[in-house]
Amino acid sequence: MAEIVERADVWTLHRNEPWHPTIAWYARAVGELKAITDVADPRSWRYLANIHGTSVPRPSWPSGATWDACEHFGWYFLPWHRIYLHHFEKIVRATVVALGGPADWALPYWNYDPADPETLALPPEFRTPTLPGPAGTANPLFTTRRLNDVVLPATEVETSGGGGEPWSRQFSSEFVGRTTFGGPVDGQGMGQLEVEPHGSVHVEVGGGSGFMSAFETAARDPIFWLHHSNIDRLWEWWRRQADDQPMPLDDTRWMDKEFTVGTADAVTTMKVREVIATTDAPLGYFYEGLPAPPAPVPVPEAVPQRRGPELAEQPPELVGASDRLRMDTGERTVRIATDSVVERLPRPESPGAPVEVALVLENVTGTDVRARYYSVHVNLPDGAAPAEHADRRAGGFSAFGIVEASRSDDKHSGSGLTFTFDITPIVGRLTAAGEWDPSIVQVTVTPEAGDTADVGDVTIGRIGLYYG
Amino acid sequence: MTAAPRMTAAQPMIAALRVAERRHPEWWVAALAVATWVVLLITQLGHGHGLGGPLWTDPAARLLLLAAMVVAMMAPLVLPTVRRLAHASLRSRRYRAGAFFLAGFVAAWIVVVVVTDGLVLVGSGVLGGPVTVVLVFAGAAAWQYGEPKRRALRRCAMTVPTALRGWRADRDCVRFGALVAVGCVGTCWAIMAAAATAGHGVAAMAALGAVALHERRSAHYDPDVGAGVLVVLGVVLLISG
Repeated sequence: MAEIVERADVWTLHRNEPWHPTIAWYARAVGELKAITDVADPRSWRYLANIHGTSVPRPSWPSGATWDACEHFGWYFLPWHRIYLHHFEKIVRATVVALGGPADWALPYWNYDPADPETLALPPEFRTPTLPGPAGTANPLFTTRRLNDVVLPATEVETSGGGGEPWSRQFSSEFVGRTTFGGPVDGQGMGQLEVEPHGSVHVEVGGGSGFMSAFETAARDPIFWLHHSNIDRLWEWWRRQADDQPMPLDDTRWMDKEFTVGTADAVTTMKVREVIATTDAPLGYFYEGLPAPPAPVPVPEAVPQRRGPELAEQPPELVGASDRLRMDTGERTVRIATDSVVERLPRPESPGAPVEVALVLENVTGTDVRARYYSVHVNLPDGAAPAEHADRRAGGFSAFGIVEASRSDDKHSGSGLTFTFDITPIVGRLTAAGEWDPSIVQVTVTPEAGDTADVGDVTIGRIGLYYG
Repeated sequence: MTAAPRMTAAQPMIAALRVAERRHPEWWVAALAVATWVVLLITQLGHGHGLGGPLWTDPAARLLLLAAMVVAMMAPLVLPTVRRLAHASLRSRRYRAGAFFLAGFVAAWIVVVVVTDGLVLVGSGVLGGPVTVVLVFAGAAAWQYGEPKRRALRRCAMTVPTALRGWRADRDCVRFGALVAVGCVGTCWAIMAAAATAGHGVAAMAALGAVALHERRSAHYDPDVGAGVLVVLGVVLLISG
């Protein structure tokens, strides 16, 4: 194979040529891997998918299997999936070569770009039940266990950090109330990229009971790999946005963490430090057409400047919190009265005050989750429709992982999920409009996809307001 | 004209301490655990005890010993939880939240260690010391490999939402501590039973406490570490009589 391969945008490939060779070889290789019926074979489709998650009880696993190993909810999410993708890509490439295909085959990515609405649909090659040609052979990339006619909602796949606001410059944090790109250190929450578009694409494609909607089945859908290839690309994009983009490169807890994927003669063992730069061996790939950094948004004077990495080492301060919130009646609104401590803290509306204001939805749990996505708004006017107030949208979160994180097993504590949203720009805008009252904040949580009337038993343990 | 304020030599140190205190509001739990270890060590050395042998037979003193064992061995395990709870509490309640959490945690544990201690005493009386040592240490080593142990390890990292202020916040913190203790018991009951069988000797408690801490801090749970220490400790106890 070539030393460095290029991962290409699947929609670009399709537009250049339907059933472009890269996609066609992927389909043939997937067909070969699916044809391996021995689930103990580390190259079989089911084995590869079970590495991510499986409902097969541990005593029934093949000897040496490294199944049910996906890392979510924390700062290992991105490196673990990068290693997993690399392992998968090696196996698919070897299969492609064995079938007579190119040695530089690389996994494409699905760039669902709101600016290019056609890309919000699944690539056509994944939607057709049969392969082109007279024989009508079954298409290995197709499955009935997904919403094949899905069009991803633009608000759920914004590659910016949710709510139209920029992604955090922090990769990770040890503190509650701090937004991060890559996830918190303690594994008790999610980074912005893991929340969306990662989680939202999973549940939008999977629907209620499709493969993509659950950890145990997600990787059985061939689109899973292209989705995660895009998540991997977005990490690389974020990393390139600034020279001083703060990665925890001096933290051995992260850098020296080692993961083993696969077994026997199809095994990949790597440390996080080996997967920081994708062009370096042994990874050796790059992404076609990484977008340029977004243009800086003009900041009104009243909007506080974000803290630099050095000040972010200080823990944010809780200033108010709601009670438990049961999402059993559709949209819910709570009013959070802040503590008197807020009067002693630097006011977020003060020009130049180094303050970040964050909203934390803690311990989101549920065993019967029917809505696929929830949006979170701040200080909506009475009776206003959330969709009409994008400027007050703090962000959103998908149902992906809620059921799994609510279970107490050897991978989860049963505490549910925690989502953190940076609402500093909203506070700035409200202040500029004279509509910010620091003593009380109103938060509206709205189910937006799936069954939005009967949303099951989803509960938000607490909504906390933090100044940091 | 007003003179510029003069900075004393101590001010940078005070500022650094203030920063450290904000980052680590769980420091007092670590200090409490260290102090308890020191007291246990001094007490046992003063009585000429080493690895094993019951120290006190008076029930009240024994209860005190068991409480000290819980604080010394188990409190270090929940330092990250106390830290997180403190940061998720109002500034005025940070230490109070941690104290109520620890109260719930230690209270739940004391119930367990009292029962365990009683069972070990009865077992030693009925079966004899060596048989009890073999049964407890072999059972504890085997427990390391079970699925329930892995599940309990995850529960140790659980979080629960707590009320913002008032008695409800105190109640939530006590409940949180007790819930974490339940997970912790699932992880460490075998280790604590081994410590009881070893007569609450400081050296044995230190070795077993280190195993528990290692299990919590390690990126990957390796049952061989705990099982290995338990087997070695059991053999040493049998040889030393």
